[in-house]
Amino acid sequence: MQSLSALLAEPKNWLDASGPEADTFLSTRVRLARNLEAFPFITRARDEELEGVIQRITSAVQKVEPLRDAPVYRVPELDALSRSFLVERHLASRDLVGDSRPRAIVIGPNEALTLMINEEDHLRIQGIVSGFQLDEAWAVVNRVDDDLDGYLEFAFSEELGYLTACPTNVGTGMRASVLVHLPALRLSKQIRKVLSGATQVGLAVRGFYGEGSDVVGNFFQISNQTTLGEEERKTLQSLTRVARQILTYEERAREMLLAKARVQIEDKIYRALGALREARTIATEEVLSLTSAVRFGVTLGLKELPSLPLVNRILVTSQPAHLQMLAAREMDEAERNVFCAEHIRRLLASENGAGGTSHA
Amino acid sequence: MHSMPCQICGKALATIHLTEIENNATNELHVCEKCAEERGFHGPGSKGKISIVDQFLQLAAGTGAEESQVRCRRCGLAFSEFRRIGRLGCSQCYVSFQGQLRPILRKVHGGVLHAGKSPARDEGRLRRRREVERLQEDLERAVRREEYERAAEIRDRLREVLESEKAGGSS
Repeated sequence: MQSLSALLAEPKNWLDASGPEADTFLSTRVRLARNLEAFPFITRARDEELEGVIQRITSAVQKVEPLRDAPVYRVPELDALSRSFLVERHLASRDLVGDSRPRAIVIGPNEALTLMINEEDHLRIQGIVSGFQLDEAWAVVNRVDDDLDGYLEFAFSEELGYLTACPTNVGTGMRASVLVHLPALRLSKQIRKVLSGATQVGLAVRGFYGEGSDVVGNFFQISNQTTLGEEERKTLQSLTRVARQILTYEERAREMLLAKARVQIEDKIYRALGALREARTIATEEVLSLTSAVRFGVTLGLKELPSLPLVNRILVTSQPAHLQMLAAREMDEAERNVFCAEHIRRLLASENGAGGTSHA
Repeated sequence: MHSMPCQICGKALATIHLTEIENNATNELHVCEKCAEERGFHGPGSKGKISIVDQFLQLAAGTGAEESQVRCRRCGLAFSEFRRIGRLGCSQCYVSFQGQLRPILRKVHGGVLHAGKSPARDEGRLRRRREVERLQEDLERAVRREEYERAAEIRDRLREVLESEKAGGSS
């Protein structure tokens, strides 16, 4: 089995901030849920049947570009660290890696396309792209869906569309989402109003990082909720409209903050950079809020800040499983926090220095 | 939308706002993070949207005992089991529990008829079905507007499509 640490090498995909509006929109994601007609859904399938599903899907996948040579990881063979790593990297969901039933994940080139096998449904096709590009992400997964459709028989009814284990996904089986960074709205205390506007038109909003009662780092995921009764394109259009609107509000909030409180904002940002540069021990949660502040600075065009790709890399690689994979050993929280601080200092220094590649 | 308390515990501020669209009415659920996590639709142990169905299954009128004992012909899942875990067992479940699922689908999605893409093998049938629907609407509209010539044209077209369907176009 291929080692997951191969994924650590170069910064991948959305981390490179190459997409449109990548400062506000970290990534755009579209996933399609499908089941094979010939097998019971996950909760009623025996393990042998789930194995059968993996066989069918992986042999179909091998006939389809761009997944022809993509590595397939079987979840039962992955240790706890590797599983957390996949979740941190946004490649797998917790449901996929939560137990030891026959499940698998196929990771396409550049981590842009991922197939989860036997998560909540037999197959989940996921496309992630940088920035705000719903049409792109849709095109990628739609193509793979069409290609796989040639080799697999999906459970489908004319009336209800693609049949999914959970009725909340039936129909298009599509969940489209954008991961947004809204520090200005948060700082100017307008975030609640803006996000509830999104929920009022049927979208779901959740804080992306943070456990417990608070959103950390001002990152939110906005996604559609409806999958039955609406064409995919229309759903994407409404999500696009709302996301654009939110972008406008964020931009306005930014201007207002700069006009009224420039010095305070800059102070917050550069202090955050200072902390990241100089800390000797730092916990993941603090990294998230400091990184969010620095990211804000980059968006505002402030000088002498790290690049957006570097900030993204700090964001993702300072998570617990990533740190341990980088260190190639398990570490308890105290050790991890020290390693994290070193890791971030190294990353920040690498940009000021000769440039070139450094470990993710 | 201003601050409001969580609709489940009534104490903490609601920070998570969920919306269900039922026809033209909007059902909203406003909860705090803690209750959302406890109910399982937010946070690390979250199962995502499944719990919205859960909530509505619990809040909606309870179904009779006999209805709960309906089992799927293919996988054997009991409807009562579905209500408990929120997951169906196989594609046949959508047929076996057709009646019980319809109100749930309407509540969750607002719609009950698929409007999106279909697998290649179903493409022809689905396309024809949608054309029939569209023609029927056009026909009714033409008749309402007393555009009888147009109506006659549409009716002929409709006949053509229905006949080709019967003739076994299953492409």
